[in-house]
Amino acid sequence: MNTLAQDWVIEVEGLGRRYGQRAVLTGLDLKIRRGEVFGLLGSDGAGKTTTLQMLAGILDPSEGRATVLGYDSVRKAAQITARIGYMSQIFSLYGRLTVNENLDFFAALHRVPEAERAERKARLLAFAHLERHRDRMARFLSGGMQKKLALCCALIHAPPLLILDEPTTGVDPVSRREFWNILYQALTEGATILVSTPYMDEAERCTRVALLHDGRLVACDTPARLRAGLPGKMYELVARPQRRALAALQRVLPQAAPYVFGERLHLRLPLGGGDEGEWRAALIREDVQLETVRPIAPSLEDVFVALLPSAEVAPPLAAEVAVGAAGPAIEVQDLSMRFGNFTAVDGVSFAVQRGEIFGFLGPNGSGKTTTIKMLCGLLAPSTGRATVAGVELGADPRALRSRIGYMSQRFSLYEDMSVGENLDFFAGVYQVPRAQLAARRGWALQLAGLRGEESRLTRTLSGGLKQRLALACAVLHEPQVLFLDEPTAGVDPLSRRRFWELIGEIAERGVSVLVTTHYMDEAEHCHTLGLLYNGRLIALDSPQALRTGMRAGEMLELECDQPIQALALFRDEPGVQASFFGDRLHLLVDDAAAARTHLLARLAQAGHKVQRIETVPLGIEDVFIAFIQMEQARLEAVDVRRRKAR
Amino acid sequence: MTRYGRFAALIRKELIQFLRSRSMLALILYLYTGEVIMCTYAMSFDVRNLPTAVVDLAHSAESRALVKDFGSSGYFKITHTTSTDAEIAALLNRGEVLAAVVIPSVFSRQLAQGMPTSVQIILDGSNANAASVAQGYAQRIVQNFALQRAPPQLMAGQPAVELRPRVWYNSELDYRHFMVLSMMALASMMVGMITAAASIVREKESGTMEQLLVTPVSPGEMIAAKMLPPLLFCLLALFPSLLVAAVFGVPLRGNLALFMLFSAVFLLSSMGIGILVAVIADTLQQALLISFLVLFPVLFLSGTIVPLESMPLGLQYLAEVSPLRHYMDAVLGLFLKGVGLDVLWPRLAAMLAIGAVLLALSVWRYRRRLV
Repeated sequence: MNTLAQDWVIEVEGLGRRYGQRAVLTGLDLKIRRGEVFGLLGSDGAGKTTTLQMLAGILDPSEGRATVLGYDSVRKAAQITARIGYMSQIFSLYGRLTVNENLDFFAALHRVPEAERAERKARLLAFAHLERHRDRMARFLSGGMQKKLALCCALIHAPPLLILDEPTTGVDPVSRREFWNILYQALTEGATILVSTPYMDEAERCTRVALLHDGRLVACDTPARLRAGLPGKMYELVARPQRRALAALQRVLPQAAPYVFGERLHLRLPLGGGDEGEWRAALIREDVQLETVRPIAPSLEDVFVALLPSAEVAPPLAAEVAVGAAGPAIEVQDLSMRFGNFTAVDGVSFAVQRGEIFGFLGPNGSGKTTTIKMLCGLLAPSTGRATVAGVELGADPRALRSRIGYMSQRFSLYEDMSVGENLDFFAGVYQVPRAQLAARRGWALQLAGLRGEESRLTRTLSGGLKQRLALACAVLHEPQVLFLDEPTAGVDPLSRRRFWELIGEIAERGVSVLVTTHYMDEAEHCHTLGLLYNGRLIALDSPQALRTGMRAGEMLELECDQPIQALALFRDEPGVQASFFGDRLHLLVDDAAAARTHLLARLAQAGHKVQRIETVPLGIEDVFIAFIQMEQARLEAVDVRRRKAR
Repeated sequence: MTRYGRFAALIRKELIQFLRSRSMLALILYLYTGEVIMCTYAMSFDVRNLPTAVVDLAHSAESRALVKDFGSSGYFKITHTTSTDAEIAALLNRGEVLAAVVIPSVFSRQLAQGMPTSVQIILDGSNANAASVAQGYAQRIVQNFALQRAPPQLMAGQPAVELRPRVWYNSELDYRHFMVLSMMALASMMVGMITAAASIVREKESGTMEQLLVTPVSPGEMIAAKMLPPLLFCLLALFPSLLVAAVFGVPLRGNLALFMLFSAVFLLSSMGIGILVAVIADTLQQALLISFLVLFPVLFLSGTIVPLESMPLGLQYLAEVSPLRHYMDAVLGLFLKGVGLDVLWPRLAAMLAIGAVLLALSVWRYRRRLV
């Protein structure tokens, strides 16, 4: 007989799984306590999904054992699957059933008593902000709504354990925040949550996290302890010219893993600053102006980059090969794309200068990919016009295509061909002149970090290397404009950093880069950001200008005992948007100074002991949420007006 | 300025990929050899060794001689001997025999008296084709038997007009000759449809097609490059198939080069079908479903399985759009009749026209996805 009174909801010993010869997961030891929000982190192929499937009792391990809710995951798998709530990465709803019918189906599946069903359904729908859509078919919901509905379905039987596989990938920031609020609600009702995510910022929301890499557990602890355990201290530098500064630092302080973070450089120095004189001298020798140096708190990503086996640092690119000829970049005027009566892109206008990195941000289905496809000549726009690399859209598609480079979200090289064969193929297709072929090929191999590996089959490369090779193939013909559609999706943080460095180098040579991403932290790497939402460009400016221009409010971070009760305290407080953030609370208020005293009084009144309350900087995501909420308010107003007119 | 040829790069890439997909190469070779051999043996519409029950109520030397004639003909195999009607019904019901020969008790007496007599044959008509073929054989056996036994005076009474059949092109009426050739044609049809289509759909599924679309490669170049490597390989794979045909004793009376020319054109037109399917479909699954829908009409309207001449007139006209119908006709002409281009040129023209229309449609459809 199992008892849930025990502390461990999940106990894993030496768990492993192999497919044929390939080990996907090896020797995993893990214990998850009741009431935890446990985050499983790692890039694509790290073993996250395999682990979750084994713990959900739907995949048998090749070695080791797992006990979930007191049941053995192999012999008592049926007991586990009947109890837990599980959400797989793929769309797991019935598209032709309505929101209501989906919930009813899952309630019936888990034999939720009729009496409880209505009440629980109403509460979940309210929390997910889905009441208005209860009679819509699931397939007509937006991506974010579908994820929220899937979560409601997984929660309908009030499971003691929730296992969620990358539930928020590609979801808009507002839905993502709501999604986490539902999760924390389930937590207050006594559930334990195990969630996998590729987003490092979501790791901060967990009580404990485990990092998987290549099927092995690299680290497992609370975010705070992981950060504290980082050897050395993180510094932020502003130095100009940045590229030269980075090159010098990479040469003098390779162990500091310097990387570009937008306009700034981040690096980790040993405690005490290391040999500060030496690297400062190196910067001066390179004629670099060091503007500011300040210590910063390390992010979890910094911690993981330090923990991961360091990839080879590719040497900076040789300067002799110029990428991209002179020419205008992108000019878009009132571009729209309609499919039937669905408007995927709605009157978008923007311009991208030579050498500019333009970041297109937005959730799945917001129109990013459709816009890029129009600009590449893959789709004919319904209305509007655009000029790309000096070619009017639709005028001369062949000329256009020879001047642009494109890399799609999916890895788009020939996996059954070798690295060299892929490069030769694209060189041939773009008719790279024979005289330049050898030089360009060598340059591309260097860019991809694959020198000397020409004969390797592309299939055998790691995700990060594949991405770099795809980038190299896309710039082999010196395009003037480079389109990158979610180039870093699913790649480990280290490869992502290196990738953004490459993009920076390419842009510095005069290539205009239009890149889409749904990693909000990557927005910092762009010169200009455009936020797409429901096909409309709702924000367009530099990251800095967006942050300062938008009055999104101020964020207070609160650490106190019994945060669950504290959250309930602020739920109905006007002017305060409270949400969990790991073991802390984040309170979005208009004016931090004014709200602080009031909030502290409320907490003291309710008998809470406050350990810490302080203002934290707003992330770009918070800014975007403000923009999206504004847009939603506008849409609702339009909706109301339309209904009144009727 | 020397330029690295774009088309050359495409061809090189297709060749590399095609030669690296070992399972596809094996499938092509199998379709041209193993499948031809197996189907020729299995799908014979000829009747041999039909399990047969005998009810000999006459119990005489003559009746036994007739039974022996049946048994030694090769068409019937006497598996059961019985004496009751009920048992015959039971054997036929259970499917243990497909025919029953009933020799009445008066058989020998009437024969001896020079009176007309009869022998009954009961056939399982569920397979109408086999039954009617068996009926013909039975008739011939009984007729021969009667002729041998007939008294000389009766011989004189034979009708004056006699049918003297002479079969051209396939003098032994060996069904296998036809079967081998139609299986070869069918192999070319399937291989043509699969190879080019598979490589297009595969690129769509893996995302590389999107990458190709943003390069300056034109639809025509892409499709031509997809067709060339499988075409060359299939023409090579036809040689083992010819060897199989030779083993089955199928003569090649016409010109080998001409056969290759016809095969190449036919392969191109069946690739046209596959490519059109692949250009429309987005996934392998869709492509397979559509191919399924296309393959059956093309097959049944080709004359490889059912003679076209026995079809309603409307279907006969429709059959003209099946490239397999023209190729089959040409192959029979080349192998068995030994005719040449002077007779077969309309077939070649028809296949070229079908192929051209299909490929033009594919290019048009593919281009519509661009701008």
